[in-house]
Amino acid sequence: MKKYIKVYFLVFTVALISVFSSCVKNEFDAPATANVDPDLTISKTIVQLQALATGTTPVLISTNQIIAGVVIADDLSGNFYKEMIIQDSTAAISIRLDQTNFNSLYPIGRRVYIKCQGLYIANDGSGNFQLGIKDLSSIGRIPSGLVAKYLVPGKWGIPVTPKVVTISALANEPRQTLIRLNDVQFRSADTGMTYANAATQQSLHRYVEDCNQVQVDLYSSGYSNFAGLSTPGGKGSIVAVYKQFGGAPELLIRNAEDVNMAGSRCGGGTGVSVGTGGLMTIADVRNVYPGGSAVFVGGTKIRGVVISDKTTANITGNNMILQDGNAGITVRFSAPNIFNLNDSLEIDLSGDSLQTFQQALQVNYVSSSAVTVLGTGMVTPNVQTTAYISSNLSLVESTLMKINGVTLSGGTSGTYSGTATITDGTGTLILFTRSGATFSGTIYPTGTVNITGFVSNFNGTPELIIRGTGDVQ
Amino acid sequence: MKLKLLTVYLILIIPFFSFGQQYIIKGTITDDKGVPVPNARVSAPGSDVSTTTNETGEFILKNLPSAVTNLEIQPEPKHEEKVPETATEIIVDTPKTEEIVNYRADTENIPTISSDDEGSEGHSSTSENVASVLSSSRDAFNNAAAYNFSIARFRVRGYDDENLVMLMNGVPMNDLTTGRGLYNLWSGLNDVVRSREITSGLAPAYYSFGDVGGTASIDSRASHQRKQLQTSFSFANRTYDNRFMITYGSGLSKSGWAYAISYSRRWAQEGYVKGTFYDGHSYFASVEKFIGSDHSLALTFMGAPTENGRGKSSYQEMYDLTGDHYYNPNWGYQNGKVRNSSVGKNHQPLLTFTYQWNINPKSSLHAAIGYSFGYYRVSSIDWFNALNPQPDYYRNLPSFDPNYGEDTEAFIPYAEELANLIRNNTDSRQLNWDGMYEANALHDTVYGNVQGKLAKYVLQEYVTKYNRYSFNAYYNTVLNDHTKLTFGYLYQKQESEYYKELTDLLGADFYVNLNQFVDVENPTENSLQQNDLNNPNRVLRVGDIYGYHYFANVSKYSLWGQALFNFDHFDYMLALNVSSTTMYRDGKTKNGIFPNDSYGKSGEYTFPDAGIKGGATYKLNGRNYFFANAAFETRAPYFDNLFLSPKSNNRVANADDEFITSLEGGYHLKTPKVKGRLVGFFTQYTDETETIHFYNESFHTFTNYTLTGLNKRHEGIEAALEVNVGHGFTASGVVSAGQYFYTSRPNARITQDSKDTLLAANEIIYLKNVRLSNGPQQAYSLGLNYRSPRFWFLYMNVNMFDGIYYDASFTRRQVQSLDLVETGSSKWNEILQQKKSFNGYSLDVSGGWSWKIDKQFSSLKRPAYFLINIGINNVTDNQDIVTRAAEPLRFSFADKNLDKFAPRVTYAYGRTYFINLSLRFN
Repeated sequence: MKKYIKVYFLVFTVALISVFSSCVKNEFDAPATANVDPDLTISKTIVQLQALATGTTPVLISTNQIIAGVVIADDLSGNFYKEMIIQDSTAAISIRLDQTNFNSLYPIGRRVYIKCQGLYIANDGSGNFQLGIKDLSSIGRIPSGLVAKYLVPGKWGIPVTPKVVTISALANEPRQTLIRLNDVQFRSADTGMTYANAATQQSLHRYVEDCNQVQVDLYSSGYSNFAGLSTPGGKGSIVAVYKQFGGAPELLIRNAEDVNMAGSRCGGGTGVSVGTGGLMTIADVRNVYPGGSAVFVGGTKIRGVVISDKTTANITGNNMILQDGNAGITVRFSAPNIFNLNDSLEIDLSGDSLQTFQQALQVNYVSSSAVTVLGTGMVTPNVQTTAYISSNLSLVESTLMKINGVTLSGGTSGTYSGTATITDGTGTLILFTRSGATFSGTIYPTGTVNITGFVSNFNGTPELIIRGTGDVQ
Repeated sequence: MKLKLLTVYLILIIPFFSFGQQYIIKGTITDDKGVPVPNARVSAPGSDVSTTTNETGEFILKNLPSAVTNLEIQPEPKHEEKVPETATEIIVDTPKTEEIVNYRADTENIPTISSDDEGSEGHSSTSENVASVLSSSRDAFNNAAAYNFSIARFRVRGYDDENLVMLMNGVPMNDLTTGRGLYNLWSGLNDVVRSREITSGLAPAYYSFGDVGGTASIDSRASHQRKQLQTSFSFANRTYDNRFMITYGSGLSKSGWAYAISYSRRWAQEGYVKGTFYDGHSYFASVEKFIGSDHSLALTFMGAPTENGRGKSSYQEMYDLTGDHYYNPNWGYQNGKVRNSSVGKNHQPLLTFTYQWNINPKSSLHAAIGYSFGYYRVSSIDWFNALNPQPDYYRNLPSFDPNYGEDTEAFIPYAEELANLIRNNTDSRQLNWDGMYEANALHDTVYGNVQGKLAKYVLQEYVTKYNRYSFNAYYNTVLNDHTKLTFGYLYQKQESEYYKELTDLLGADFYVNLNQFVDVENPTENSLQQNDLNNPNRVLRVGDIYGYHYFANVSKYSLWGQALFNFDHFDYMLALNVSSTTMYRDGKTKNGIFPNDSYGKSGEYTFPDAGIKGGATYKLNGRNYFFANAAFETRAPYFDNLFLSPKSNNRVANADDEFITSLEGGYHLKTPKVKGRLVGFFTQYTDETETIHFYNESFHTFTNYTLTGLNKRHEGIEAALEVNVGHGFTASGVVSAGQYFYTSRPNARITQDSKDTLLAANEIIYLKNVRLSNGPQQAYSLGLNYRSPRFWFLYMNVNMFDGIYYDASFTRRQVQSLDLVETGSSKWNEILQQKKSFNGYSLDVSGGWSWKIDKQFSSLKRPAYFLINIGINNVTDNQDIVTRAAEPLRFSFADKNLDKFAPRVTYAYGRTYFINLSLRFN
């Protein structure tokens, strides 16, 4: 019995000591993170590896090949998705991997070594090379759990310098390398537009051009974090990954900072923003136009009454003329205009551009959804002479005018179609009617009449446009 | 050596006192064979009275307070049967002293409440604590429920904690915001929480109206502690490996003072599950003063600061690959050392002040004030624009084909390669701490006016801080020979503060307080991304509060009364309860998505409730009892269910009180040789409100489902038979056969945290007849016990479990999930069929020995005992018992591929042991 008690006391003593001495450790050292390359020998350059690809059918890399390249595009912004581009001094290649936010470990500027044995390589047909696993007849993504087996990270913080090229010379560059274009701008239709549709997460094409109007497609993902940003209106540089798609070059930026276009556009104009961000009169809009292509600040709105008539088709289908007080403007929609003569409207111009078309000031690419119908209005025409209109074009452009006591002449066989002449005591004015207008074949009256119409600025020459034969009385 | 140690004990043992005796009750204690039990300790709870039986089992209890309704009997320690991890006392629930002689002095198995958190994933996320035994009288059923069935996380009648009212020294111990029992507050204090009164089901208690699951009242006041010094040391291979406990009780001094103190430490460098450490201290002190013999004032303070590395349930695929049903994805190596990302820290000290006044021989008043405070913290990894670090993320597993299964042939070798990697390489299946540190070193970033390394990964803690106040008073009086009345008043108030704290930048310089789940349509307008518009674009450092921050405030008043009527052959019971619960949220951040609905106080929501219960017992004779009880009550929704998404806004469900009907009835047999019971129960919950939150792949955000009109039913039978077969052998059989299932199609209001867009206002969830997932619905046990007259015992039990259902996913049971699926097709069935786990079985063996060792300590002139208890659970090392499995809440609506998101499964521990050595001086 005593034996047990001795055992107990021994145990108890040990226990007491251990109770107060044993500590359950849960403090941890930060591991040292050394910025070094792995001990791997590069066996092929990227160009040499690309030579293994025989075409668009994935080819298994069955030998122990190691390549290395610096990450030039990661997935931080979301414009690249499950795709990493690495580049060495010879070429670039796209790695397809099933990881989102791999940028946490493989950010831009980090050298990555790839143990290629067991992976497949293919040319996508446009000269873009991809590395991954086989997925039917194309390259699929490397399973997430295996990425670390094939991709070995190396040094980070390596600067990546894009090669400066011109749009015309892009096709000579190795595909998927990082390039830089200088002195380029978004084409005017694409300025002040979002890079992609963030709301619907649709990808969009925007076009970048040089001053010779040579254009290249800039393709951006609707999932990218810059999708909802507006493209700048000025001129400058862009850094991007150059790919070939459908036989044409295509650019993909890594993030919004890749675009630096704050200078003057080709042929002048700053491409700067205009608008107050609130409701403006059309007269004010005309006054703040800086020349070139300007982009409306978000929230900028105008109101006015439609003085053109889409039903008689004497105006381009996508256009309408809006007048507010004594000033008017051409509004161009991205789709055919659906608003009627005398509709009173409010238009949200956020992101739309303000520019001249054949010298007429025009708001570009308004969406019908940005228009609110306030009701119906009526514009009383300003009664003036032909001489007044000719010498005050900038004031009367896109407004409704009436000239009394005029005679009409010219045109096509006495019809409205084409260019006719309005004559009053002070001079003459062109009466232009589109051949597609519903009334273009109508014979105009030969006597003295009063005529009403809006003034169109055609390359500096005023023209009167009537909405129908009722405008001539 | 021995002498020196003895001296240590002498110093510790000095403060013993004796005390005087005045009034007398006599009795005899026999065992169930009618053999007198000598040297058993008999005491009256709540008084200073205790004594020991003589050689013929007789006792004289003196100086007894008049309103004593219970006697506590402890057998002589020599005969003590101590099943490891259980308590050792019986409280005999009887009002008449002469009946005591018929009760066997024996032990009761009350499980220690463990605080391990394995597998706390999933929407039910009920507390992992095993509820206490729900009856006071020793009974084979309760033993099995509390001890043998606990391995499978059996719940008596399938009830959640909120159905059991729990009191500590008269202070209510259920969390007001969730209803959960606060067992963690006294974990490790096994020595001092042994005095318990428990009523099961709808049986009446004199201290609480109770609830459908019954009541449990623990009395840890100093006068309820044995007059003794006890130390014990335990070895185990469970949540912890070592436990040390020391407890001293002074007994009551002549001047009316009593005090008791206890300390314990439990620890493990690594528990049963890899990567789980455990480090818990527990402390306890109680002092009590009797003023005269009628008034007692007791002040008790206790706490259990505990830290532990947590386990996490994973997918069957990972268990198969690792060949380990206890695979734990929470840990990984950092500098070669195991580090667990999910560490729980819990410390909620409890202070109770209890007053007892024995007004006259027929009446008594109890009043208690309670205050508890402290925190519960759980860490995890948070990440922003970074690769998901979870090693068992479904996209990291071999079963996931990243190329949509278009080229299965080509994928097979890669899947096999990945499987081999996971099988053979620990790093590929555990957290990569070094990788996270490396990622954090890579991203030099300018953010506002701060430049530095922006963290991709951080360690965060989900913090809850508590302040709980309560006042409880009840008055008992004997009106006449047939009637006893009880009245009670209870007030509870709780403030819970919730926030996230950044606790480790993992080598980076700062982190940002942005909501990563928000889809930013307009990057120049980033207010939506702000977790707190009052402090936009805040740069975070270690110790900063971020994410969400709010208070949940709940208060409740209850008033209740109870009448008990006793006649020769019938007992009747009638009780009424009215209460009012008020709750509101108080937001401390202005959420970018809910700017008008998140900062400041929400509305106050008040729910008046009422309950009534009644019952009758027919006492055919002293051996045969028939009883029937019924209860009807309403219950206010819990805060966490009423609020749609308290982490982000003040919005609430259109919720009403739930209505509960509970019926029970049965038969008890009590003969010297055979004891048994057969009880049927039926409980219907109607109009319950339940809210769950989970990350929804389809929306890339946290989604909240608030279900209203949720009905559940718990019905079944409980049966137990225990036969004394002689020669020291007792055989027992226990059956708990229930069905717990949903009985309605609730409506779900589906909201998301990343957008102020309602996903569905009234989505029907097709849950009718789907089973609940709350442990085995059927459990069986066969036991054989042997007790030797030579002071040792051996117990053996074989247990079987059935009806362990996968927790039903709500997302899978919407119309949308079955869109374009042909009714009755195999796909249809596959989607709707609820999986059931395999039946489980286990074998438990335990034994104990005790020695009286007075001679070795003769100088003390005190009885001294040395005890060894050994328990082995699951002797056959059955590692296939599922304790919990949950259908995934993510559902792939597009392709209806059920394999895309697999269920998470948790297995019961295999063979575990517990060895306890203790030394006791009375």
